[in-house]
Amino acid sequence: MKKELPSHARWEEDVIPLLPVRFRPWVEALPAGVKEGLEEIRVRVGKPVSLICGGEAGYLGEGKMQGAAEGALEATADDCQALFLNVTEHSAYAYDNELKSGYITLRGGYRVGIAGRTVQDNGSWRLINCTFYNIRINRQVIGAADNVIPRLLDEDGLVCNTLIVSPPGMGKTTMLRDIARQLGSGAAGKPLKVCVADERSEIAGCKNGIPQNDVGLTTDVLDGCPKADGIMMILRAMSPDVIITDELGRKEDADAIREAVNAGVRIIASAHGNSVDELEMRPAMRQMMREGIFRRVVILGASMGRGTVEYILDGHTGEKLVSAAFKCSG
Amino acid sequence: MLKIFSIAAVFSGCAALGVMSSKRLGNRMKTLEGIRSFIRRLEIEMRYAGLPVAEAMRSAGEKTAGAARELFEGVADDLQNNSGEAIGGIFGKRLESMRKNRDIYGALTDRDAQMLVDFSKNLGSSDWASQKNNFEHTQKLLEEEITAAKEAFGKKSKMFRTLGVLGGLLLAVLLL
Repeated sequence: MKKELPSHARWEEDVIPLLPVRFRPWVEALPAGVKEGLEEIRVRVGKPVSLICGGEAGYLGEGKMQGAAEGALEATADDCQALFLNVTEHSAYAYDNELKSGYITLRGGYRVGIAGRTVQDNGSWRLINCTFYNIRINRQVIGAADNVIPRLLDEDGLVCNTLIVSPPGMGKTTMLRDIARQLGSGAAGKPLKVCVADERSEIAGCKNGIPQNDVGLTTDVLDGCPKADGIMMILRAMSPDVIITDELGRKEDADAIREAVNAGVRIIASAHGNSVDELEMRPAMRQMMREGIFRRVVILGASMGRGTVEYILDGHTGEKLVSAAFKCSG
Repeated sequence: MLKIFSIAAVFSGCAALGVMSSKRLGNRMKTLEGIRSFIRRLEIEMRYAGLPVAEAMRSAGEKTAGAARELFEGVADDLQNNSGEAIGGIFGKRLESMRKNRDIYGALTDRDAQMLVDFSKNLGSSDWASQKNNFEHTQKLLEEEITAAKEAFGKKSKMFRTLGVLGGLLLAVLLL
């Protein structure tokens, strides 16, 4: 069954008060259908505020989402400054690490990606003029992994090491979140000790260490820690059955995954790409695929709408276990 | 009879003026000391508890007595309205309103007020290294102003009271 958590149905309550005062009536006046499907609000100095809704791009017009930039609400430098103050709670020092990473997580698990002018600061890059914002209105879809979970279990009912692959915006994180919720609530026969290494706070959407999304009853979250270090910390401290993490790609990630797998922990992770062939072009991913670390590879796409499972591969044999595309949830 | 009442009123008025001027000096000292101790607490809440400014102001308010609490908690309320106005503007308005309506804040000089507004303009808006400088700089300025306020109180408080009484007496004699 597909339904949304109340916290996400209430994005208007969480996000609109943080927008510049001038923007609020414009967003509030959007038709219910647009508000329901709104995925991103993008703000750029001197440009019309743009929206992404149901995969379509448009601009914030008066009482509507419109295709033309003319007549759309234009963001000023003051608007961007006000947005920055609101999302950082007037406390840039308290969001230092997030600003270095280029995003801030809001109450409710929504993320604001930030870009602008950067300066180098002790080996890392710091944003000093924040002039581009992407407010991502992610929604938890309960049941997003209903049709996938049975295919991730082996003949003994154990969770297989799984890699979920898709281009951005196709539902990898939504699926990982629901897998965490289901495995942490007994979908594999009994509740497993699930640990989420949530480097970018996207899976659990933690605010002050508290998940804003439902990630299961027996799920622990290590929030904001780089994946490779996070996986090692979880291994040492939390005795997990399953580790879930997002967006693998670097060599350090691959090393940490190997450690976890060798320690008998099951891994469910995601990576950007359109296909296994594309993964093979990235050295760290190629190595992991060749070592047969992942027993299941789930390819997501958009052939039946975003979040379509295009096919599921046996990572050891390369054989397609499910070749016909199907929607993730029932 | 009317003359006696007038003379008494003039004397009382002058004496009260002297007492009020003296009290104003004392109020300035107490207010600056209250703000200094609040700002120390605020720094602890921001630095060690990692709280955002508004929450840090509330938390410091719970642990600090005195009139500074009212000022900063008012600022915290305004911040949480997400009006998009910077802290400097919000703080400046609150402080001006309190200077008009509360005796204890009315005792602050324009120079004191400007120092506090400058502090608020930098509050929260940068990384911790810059915040630390802002706190250190403001604490130093506050120390200087408190020392000056104490000296002024020590030197002038008694003098204002005496001048009030003596001025009242002088006018009373002239009116006789």
